[in-house]
Amino acid sequence: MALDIEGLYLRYGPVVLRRCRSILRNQAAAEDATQEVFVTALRFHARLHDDAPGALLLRIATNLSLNRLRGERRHPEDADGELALRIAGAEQEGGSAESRTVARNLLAKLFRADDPLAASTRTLAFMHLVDGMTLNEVARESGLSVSGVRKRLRTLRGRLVELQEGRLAELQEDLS
Amino acid sequence: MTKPVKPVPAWLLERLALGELDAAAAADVRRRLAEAGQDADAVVADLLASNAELLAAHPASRLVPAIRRRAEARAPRRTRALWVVAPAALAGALALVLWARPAGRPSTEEAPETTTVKGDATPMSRLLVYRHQDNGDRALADGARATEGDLVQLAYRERGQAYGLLLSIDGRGTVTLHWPEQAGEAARLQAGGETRLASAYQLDAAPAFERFFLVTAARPFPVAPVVAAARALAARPADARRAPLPLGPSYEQTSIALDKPGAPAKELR
Repeated sequence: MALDIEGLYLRYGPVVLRRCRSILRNQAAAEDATQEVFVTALRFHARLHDDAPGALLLRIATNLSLNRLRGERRHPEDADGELALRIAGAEQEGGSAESRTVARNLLAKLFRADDPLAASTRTLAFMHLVDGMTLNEVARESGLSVSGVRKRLRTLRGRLVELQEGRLAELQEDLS
Repeated sequence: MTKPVKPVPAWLLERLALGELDAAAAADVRRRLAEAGQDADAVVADLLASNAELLAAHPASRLVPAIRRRAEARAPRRTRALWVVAPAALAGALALVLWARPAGRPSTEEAPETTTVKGDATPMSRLLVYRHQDNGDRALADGARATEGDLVQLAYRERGQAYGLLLSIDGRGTVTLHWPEQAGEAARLQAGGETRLASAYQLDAAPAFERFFLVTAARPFPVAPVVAAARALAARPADARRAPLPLGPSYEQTSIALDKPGAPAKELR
């Protein structure tokens, strides 16, 4: 059955646009990303037969926007190591307001596709650390188990700690 | 001291306004809004008003045809069998265009000279690695120098092998799958000239080298065994820089390694 893309756009277009805009902080880029979300939806249409596809469209919007942010960062920022440590240490559910702020760009920039699930893991991390959703909420909105979400976020935190340790080692070499 | 009330995530407000949360979740969001001193109905009304404004500024009559044009432009030209090309289409859509630069003509100062693992005269799909620079993209040969922060663009030229993937291993022993971005099957290669991945890749602080592989085959193949082969190679520091991936004869592979001088090799994990 063909996807009613116009109906889908009328219902979800503004939702997707707000989501892209909140991540990209750029109106033109957000409008472009919004179109990409619906192009993706056309290709994914078999999975959109769900009665409530809003969560899937929001996840696609998040993933696309983070990919775009990642590509915009061409030079490492000196403060990355510090930010990584703060995110890695954000143990409380949803993280602090400060850690959410610093997590936004760092997740987009530094997360490596070390495994085939990297993109979705990055999106889950954004939902938890930046949006401030609890693990239960992230699990519900992504269709995963809470333990599955927790496991993936643990991997991310480990990677960020590794990154921080690498930075510290380089700093020590520079100072010696 | 009163514990500060955490704001309700915008995601959940959107889902509340869409009427897509189940009863318990909707009640929880409304309760949290009330605790934060907000009227849930007013929040929903604001979002619906914003929807109307955004649809007026970005009407379906303009956006939907544009979306359809984009989707059609990405449709494969080789075949109309959607199931065959789904992995490539999905990867492209999800990866998104990081810098939507036209391919242009790269600098030829460092002509791309792919190290092919199969050494016969049969034309092989070719791997291309470019470094983005202010004055254009420069093609990098095997052994070219690179540093942390370099933004590299991966591309390929299809030569008779219909399916493929791109991954890399680095001097820290990390395996990075670049394309397709999702687990599952290898992507369908696009025929007819050079194809650039939709996303660029920024080199990190991994020491010693970053080695990119293009693995292709005539038939569809799963990504996971190739990633496993890459992990196996990456775990052998003495071989990781030069040896081929431990794959069967049905695969073709080609690689380009970028050296990262000044970044001391560390023990692989």
